[in-house]
Amino acid sequence: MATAPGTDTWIIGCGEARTAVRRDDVSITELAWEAVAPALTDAGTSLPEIEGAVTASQDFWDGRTISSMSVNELVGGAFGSEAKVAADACLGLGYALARVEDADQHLNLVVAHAKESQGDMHTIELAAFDPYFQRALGPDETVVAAFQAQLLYAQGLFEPSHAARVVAAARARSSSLDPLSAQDVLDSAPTADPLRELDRAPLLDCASAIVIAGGEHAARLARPRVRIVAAASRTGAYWSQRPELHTAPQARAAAEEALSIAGWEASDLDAIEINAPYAHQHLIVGHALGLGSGEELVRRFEGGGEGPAVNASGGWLGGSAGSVAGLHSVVSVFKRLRESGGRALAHSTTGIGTQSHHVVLLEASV
Amino acid sequence: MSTGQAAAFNREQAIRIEQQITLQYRFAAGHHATRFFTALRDEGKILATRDADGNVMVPPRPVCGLSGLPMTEWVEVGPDGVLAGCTIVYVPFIDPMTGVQRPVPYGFGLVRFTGADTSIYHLLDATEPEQIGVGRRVEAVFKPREERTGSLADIKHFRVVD
Amino acid sequence: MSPVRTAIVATGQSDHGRRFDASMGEIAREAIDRCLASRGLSFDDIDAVVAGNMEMFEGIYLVDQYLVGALGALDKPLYKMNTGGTVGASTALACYHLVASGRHQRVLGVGFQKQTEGSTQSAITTVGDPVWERAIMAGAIGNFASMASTYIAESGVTPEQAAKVAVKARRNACLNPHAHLKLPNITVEEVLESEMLAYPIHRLDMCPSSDGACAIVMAAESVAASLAEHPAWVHAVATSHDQQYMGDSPKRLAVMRSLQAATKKAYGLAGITSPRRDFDVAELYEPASYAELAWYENVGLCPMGDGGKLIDEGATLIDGDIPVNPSGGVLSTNPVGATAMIRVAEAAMQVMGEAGEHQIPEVQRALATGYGGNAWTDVMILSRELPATAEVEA
Repeated sequence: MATAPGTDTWIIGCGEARTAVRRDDVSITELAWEAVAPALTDAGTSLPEIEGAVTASQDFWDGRTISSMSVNELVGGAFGSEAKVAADACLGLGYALARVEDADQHLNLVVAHAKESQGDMHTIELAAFDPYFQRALGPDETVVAAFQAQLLYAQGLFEPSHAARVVAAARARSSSLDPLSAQDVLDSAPTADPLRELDRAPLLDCASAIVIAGGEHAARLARPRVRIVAAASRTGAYWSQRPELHTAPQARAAAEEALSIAGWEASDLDAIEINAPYAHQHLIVGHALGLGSGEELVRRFEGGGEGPAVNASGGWLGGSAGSVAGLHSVVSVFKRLRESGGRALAHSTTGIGTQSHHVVLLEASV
Repeated sequence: MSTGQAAAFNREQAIRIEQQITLQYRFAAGHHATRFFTALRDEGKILATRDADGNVMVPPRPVCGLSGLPMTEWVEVGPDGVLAGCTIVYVPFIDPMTGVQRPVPYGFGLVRFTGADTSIYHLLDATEPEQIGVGRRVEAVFKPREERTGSLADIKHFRVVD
Repeated sequence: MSPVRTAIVATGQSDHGRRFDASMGEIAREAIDRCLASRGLSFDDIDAVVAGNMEMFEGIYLVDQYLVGALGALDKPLYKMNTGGTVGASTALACYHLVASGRHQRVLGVGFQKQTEGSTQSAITTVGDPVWERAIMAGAIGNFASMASTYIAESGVTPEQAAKVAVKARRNACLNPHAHLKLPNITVEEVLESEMLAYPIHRLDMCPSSDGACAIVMAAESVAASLAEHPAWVHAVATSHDQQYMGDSPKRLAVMRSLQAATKKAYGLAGITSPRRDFDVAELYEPASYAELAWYENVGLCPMGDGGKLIDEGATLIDGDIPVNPSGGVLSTNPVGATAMIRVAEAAMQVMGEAGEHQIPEVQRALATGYGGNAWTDVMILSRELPATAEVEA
């Protein structure tokens, strides 16, 4: 167990809230509990045994400074050790790993929540822009995504119909969103050229949770489990300082570091999950991860081609939200791997124009 | 910038850009709050949740952090209580609900409803400030039924009784 | 796996105050540059960066991504902590875990805030739950004043004893080149005569609102000795909160449950049995004068209820037997994103013998605490001695 490269930390349970465009029936506390309660049951444990949590949420989206206060009591935070990251939960997972690996804690939750229905996307995203040079122009993330897509399509490896097909593929696998065709995407209202409304994942209310445990603890609880082999993250330059917005070298670098820790080749992977808010960004990351370009890459998202299954869960485009998306993929992979075994890579991103990339490697033998 | 440069920097020269961002939110109160505020508005009652260990919590919530147990029972507490903490505020603050400055001085404190293990913050009637003190018994002064909307403001303030 | 033994090997701070001359990136770099330069380090020597800042204060969403260049985090992992007033300490604790787990060897932690750039009270108001608390909040002051009233009822501390804490802080600050509020001639009378904000809190009982930044480098044992002559070894870390609503803790401040829980865990790990005797100095996060008295009790420097006696004895003065906040504390300097890291950095400086004019002689062990949000407590214990090789808990 501990002799294989990578960590000795395991996922032993998971849970997710019911995802919807608008969960007006629940507060953030109640929404997160919908994910945490089943995760605890799934893991065969209970809150008093949880030593702490790493939570992921964004204050601006929650309209609350220290947005994790809404969930602290139900993640073992009361007298336990909670820490909050303002980033995708895959980065939080990387930190949670360290807290178990250094033997400080043995049983932790990683919880992410988003209630995107409650905030005003444009103004929140505007607040991420440089106050001196950019804000007066009134931009938001769609504008940067549009610059990015322009550069990508000008490069000649991809075109808008490819992005539209990535959306359709994600919707076909979604358990919370209606199916769409690629033509539906191309026919949807233009937002910022060359992007259409349906190029972006819809804003959703959702929450995901996993229980992680150190090796001995996991063994004692005797649940089906999946090892978190490695986690890595890389930060790129701020969007306006990246002339090559249409590339993702940090995604490749994070994946390479994680694979190196694991002692794996990319060909050892059975599944890959890629997460970003815009469809064309999946093409950028997929290409950076060496999955191909043009028709070849799009077919991978559609379930064709050879090699690891790509986005079998549907990913962010198939029904998740900022802060949560990476964890949603981890949950989906965990459920599959504990049944069938295998090796998987889950990716997600934080920041405008996919500035930072986080990668997690998971493995189970059955 | 080194200390020397900072000291030499003339404050008159500093460019400061004024900006205002208005962030609009629609907060869903959720089913615990909905049940609480409905009872407050319609019946003038204070409700709390209780777990199997007997912890009684206001505001009501799905799980108790002390025990880690789900809070599945609803019980009535108060509407009287004791002051667990209190102060008279002299500095004007903007009321976040109206955007208008609250007239000072006003009373502000922590009220522990009879039967509950926790307290909530609320306004205190400060017409006799010397009456306000930790441990004093208080009762809720409700707005008339027709003025209540289903929020904490349905209680105008708490008044010391004895 | 046993933890890698880990130490703080370098610290740096900006000149805290009202810094209209510096942008957020510049103030963060002022601290980072001083920290790295003190050991001849460059960004190439850093494996990962952890940043702490409460972004709603200045109104910059994804502030860590915006400032990636200033933070030296390009092509590195960048962890953005976001835990309220204690974020600087949460950041330091994250640095510790990232090194102790064997993941990285040298991690840069930086806390920063420019409170002159935002509406501090508005941001603090959003700490309150929007449904249950926000409408009635009276900023930070109403909350502290109410908590102080509970503490006074419980312990009998007097306004004069609280004022002594306020005096100690601002006089100590005069020995700290980085501190914001330095008042060499401040007296107890002056504190008691200062404007009453909310009973019993006078203006001079409260912390200021500052611009500032603080940086540390946390290093693994294999490299620590080559970086600092006397590394400040981390002997224990602990984090604890209370429940989620402000009124949940019945005697908050007086009986600070999370501080008791966190120090209990940390003391157990570090072998502390008599805090007053075992520590040579403490940097405690005191958002108001009364809080420091309550912290004396809750971290075990004196019995419960005796916080006022301890300050009357002079024990926590800079020349006392357990100096508390020789740096001037939060009462002198409070850039929220940095404040709790300043406690950690100042404790490390004491252990490393680098606290200059406010150095306590012969420091072996130091205690640092963070406070924020809803009784969110972080604790770190630093020592000149290497920790004994840890036994992995079952």
